[in-house]
Amino acid sequence: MYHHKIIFTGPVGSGKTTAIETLSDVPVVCTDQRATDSDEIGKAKTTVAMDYGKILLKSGETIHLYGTPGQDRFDFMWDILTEGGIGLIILVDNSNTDPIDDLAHFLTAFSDFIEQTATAIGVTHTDVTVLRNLQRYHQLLERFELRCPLFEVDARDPRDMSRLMEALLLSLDPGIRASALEAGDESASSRNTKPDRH
Amino acid sequence: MSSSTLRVATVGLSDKTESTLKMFLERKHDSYSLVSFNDAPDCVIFDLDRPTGRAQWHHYLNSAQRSPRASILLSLSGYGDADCKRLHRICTLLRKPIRLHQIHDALARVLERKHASPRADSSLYSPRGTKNGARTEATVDTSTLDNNGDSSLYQAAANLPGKDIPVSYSNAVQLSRNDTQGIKKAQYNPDQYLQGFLEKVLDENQASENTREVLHIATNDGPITLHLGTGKASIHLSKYRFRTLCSLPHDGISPPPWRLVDEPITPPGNPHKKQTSIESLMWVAAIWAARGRFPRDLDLDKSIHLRHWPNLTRLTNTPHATRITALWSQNDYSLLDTAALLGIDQRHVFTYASACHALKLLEYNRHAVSVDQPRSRGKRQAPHKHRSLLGRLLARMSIFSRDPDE
Repeated sequence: MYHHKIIFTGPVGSGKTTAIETLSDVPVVCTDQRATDSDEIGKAKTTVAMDYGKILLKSGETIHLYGTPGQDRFDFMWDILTEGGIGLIILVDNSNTDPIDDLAHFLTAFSDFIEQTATAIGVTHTDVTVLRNLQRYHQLLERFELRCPLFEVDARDPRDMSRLMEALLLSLDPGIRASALEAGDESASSRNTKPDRH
Repeated sequence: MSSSTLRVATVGLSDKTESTLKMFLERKHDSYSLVSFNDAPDCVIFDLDRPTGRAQWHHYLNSAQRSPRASILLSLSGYGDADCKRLHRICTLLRKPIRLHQIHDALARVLERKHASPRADSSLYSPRGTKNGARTEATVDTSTLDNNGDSSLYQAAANLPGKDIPVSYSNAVQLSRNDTQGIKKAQYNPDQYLQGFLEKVLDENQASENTREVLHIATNDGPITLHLGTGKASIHLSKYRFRTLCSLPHDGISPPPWRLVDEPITPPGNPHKKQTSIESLMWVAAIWAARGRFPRDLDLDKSIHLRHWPNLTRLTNTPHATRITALWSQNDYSLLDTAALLGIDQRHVFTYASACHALKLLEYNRHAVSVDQPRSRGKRQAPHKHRSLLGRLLARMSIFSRDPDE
């Protein structure tokens, strides 16, 4: 059976785990371990292998959501996780010292995968470091000759993350049509019964 | 014409509304007749959302020196005007969108009062509560309006540009390339709207040697402040007033309802204050100005190039925005081709293009490729191999991505 998966990547602390938690229909499997460089990365625990969540469609199909570890020393996982993926979501922490450089790093690292599929970029933590606008990010994308979706997002917000996912899916094929079966109210109500994490 | 017929006049209504009303009144010709404003109507229907709508109505009230006639007021907002409350016996305010039965009910009440007061044929609306049913008679001398030139206000209303706006979200008009008339009707001039004014002040400020950090804009209903340093905007208007301000064209004759001022304006005592980004303000102003049309400086036949994706999570959503952007990020297409390829109404493409145009995201395809052979930028022209699966996932996502107001 074909393994449909969407990959989430980005630097440490950009919100990959949170984004997968927001979208997943099942509790997310995390491989968080105590960070040995907690001072440097700004949090006590970090993902060392992957995060894993699922979107369960009414048709019975499953979309697997994989989050890569953010640190370069785990980059051997990146190729493993992206194999067979349908698209890539890159999250960038705008409060980092040089988020543009971070994005350039991930665009380069995943360039082959992006070439074969599509990517959508979410800029997180814009409430921490106020963005004048996204101009510098767009300039970077122009350098990479990419015209992919790039939005401000709050990884905790289902609306933001769903918009980013929509943009990724339509970038893969603007002609796809939303299936009436899935657009029914049932899935909405089941999702809305998820406990509030905030 | 029977004296029991209610004579109705309109001021500032769109042609469409007026035509509908006319058809309705003709069917009820025993009870109502549509007359011009100068023919001493019993009741006048005003569109308060026109730029001069409130002024015309106030003028009408003041002209009827002793006892004003009945008026029916059409507006997007509720009773925002103290006069509406004070004069509720003679004024009926109907909130848009207007339904014919509402106008019918309002007219029926006016007619009922006219019948109840046969002597007050030309002034039905003397204050109630007079003893023994006696009413103070009052006649409006409409000749005064003619003689003192005040009727020019009404003339100006009749000649308002954009009075006839044939394409809107409620009309699914599909244009073809050779439909010159249709294309002309579907165009609008942003300079007549708040959209164009905002674009102009921002451009001028940027080009100026003495660039200002804060721009203060006065409107009839409350100030708008643009903080250029932070990219934020403060809007001291209710959302209905703001929508009205964005969607009404300026006639070029009367003073515009917006102007740039040097000093900060003390907001009126209204509780409405919204903080947003300047980008979002421009975007919304364009959507409300366009209402399914496209700016006249966009050529329907030329392929357009989108510089980059708009920040769609922080901008008001328009139908099919993501789909249109996705298509434009792969290829450069004309507006008509975009609608045809995606199988969506042209008005959605036009509105979205107007909003992108306001943010200066659109430019013409520099390679001047024929519309029949759009310049391919992407690598994927064939449908995705998992298209149906993606469709199911898209439907799932679209449940959660809707705006709360949608």
